[in-house]
Amino acid sequence: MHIMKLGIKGGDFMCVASLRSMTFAMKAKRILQEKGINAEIIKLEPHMTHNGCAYGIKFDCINLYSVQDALTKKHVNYTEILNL
Amino acid sequence: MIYFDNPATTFPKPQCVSDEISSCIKKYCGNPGRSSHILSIKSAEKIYETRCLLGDMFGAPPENVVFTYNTTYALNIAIKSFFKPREHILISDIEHNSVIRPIASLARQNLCSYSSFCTDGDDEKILDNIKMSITDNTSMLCCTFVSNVGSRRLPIKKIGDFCKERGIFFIVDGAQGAGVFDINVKEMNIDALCIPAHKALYGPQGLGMIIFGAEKLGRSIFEGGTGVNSFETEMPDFLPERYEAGTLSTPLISGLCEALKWLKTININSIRAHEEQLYITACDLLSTNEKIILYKMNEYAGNTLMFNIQGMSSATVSSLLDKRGICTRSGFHCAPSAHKKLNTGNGGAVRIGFSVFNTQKEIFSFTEALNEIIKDKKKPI
Repeated sequence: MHIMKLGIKGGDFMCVASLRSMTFAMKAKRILQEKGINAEIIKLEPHMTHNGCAYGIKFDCINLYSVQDALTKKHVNYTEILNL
Repeated sequence: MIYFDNPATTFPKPQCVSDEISSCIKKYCGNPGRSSHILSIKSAEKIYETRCLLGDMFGAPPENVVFTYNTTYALNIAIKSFFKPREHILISDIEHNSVIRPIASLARQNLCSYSSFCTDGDDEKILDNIKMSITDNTSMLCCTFVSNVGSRRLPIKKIGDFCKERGIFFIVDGAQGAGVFDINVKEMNIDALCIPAHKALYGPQGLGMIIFGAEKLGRSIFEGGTGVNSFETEMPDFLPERYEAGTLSTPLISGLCEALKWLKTININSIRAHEEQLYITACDLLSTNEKIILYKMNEYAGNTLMFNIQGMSSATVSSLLDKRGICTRSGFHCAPSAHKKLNTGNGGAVRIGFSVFNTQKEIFSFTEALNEIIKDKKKPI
């Protein structure tokens, strides 16, 4: 797995989990919401993807391990988690 | 007007359905899964919410819900995606043309063979018939949950268990069962359940679904844009996008979404109990007229009741009812083999079926209209 730190927002690093489709981005967002973790669906920049269009969820890197844990437990396979 | 053509499509729909379709078109109908602006995300959220509701209802995760144009498309995709070349497909002897035609088409091209099993007898007898009908190379079984002609209900759980044991891909045509009976693809070992939005789910026309029991991937049938993996020339190797080429209909799906929420508040078991009462009343009243031939099951098994009037074609009866403001359906209901079993293979029959919006009073009015039609027939010209 990979994590992408997107940049600094208000002093916090933002991470992106790359997911295989909008459907899985929606699923991931709901799982994280249930855990009280804010996440935003984004369309990935071309340089972040290997196969063309893809979606991801953006979240505060402080929640990285919680996000990984929550998605893994619910069998949501993220192709990468990226940080910048 | 009295509307009894509900097995074809339920009418009317709950107010929330048309309200949401209108709201979607006016307020948020972006292209789902193609962009990330606010309208695209709002559309995608609505679609995902609908997948979740359908998944909850039919026992599957949301990503196993594939949207199609209707049940026929769903069945075509499931059948043509998963059949194994040169192997055998087993169907029942009461199937709708949406099952028979795609399979017969494959057989005509020498891509597979097929035969049907007899649905006479009780559940155990049907299962025995299936066991006798399978061959060494039967790799798919496709049958209806409940027939659209005469409400013959098949023992789906038992058939599913048998198919799982034998490694046979099991497709169920749930056109008349979805929204009437509890269906759980996981518990019933259904590989692909094909259902419509516009019948007992009270959603709009032009929308169907495949609910996959597990993430099994067959060949793609329609190819095109999916919003993901754009550099690849093959469809994605995951659900639901593998089977969803092109833009989905957010307005129709949003309408179904509200219909499903509405159904949850009422509960399908309560609706079925209501419809069963109407069915019993109709059977009782129609049975009192010796000119009416009633084709009814021993027990209530779904939402269709078939009848004919002696000496009149089903088309004439349906037309005369229509003139009295009563909507029914005559003919063969796209299921000629089921009519053969009902002994109505020559002229078909008149079909009525009920929805949550029908009343006992309507049954009385309908019976009176039928009695008038029979009386008028006796009058000399």
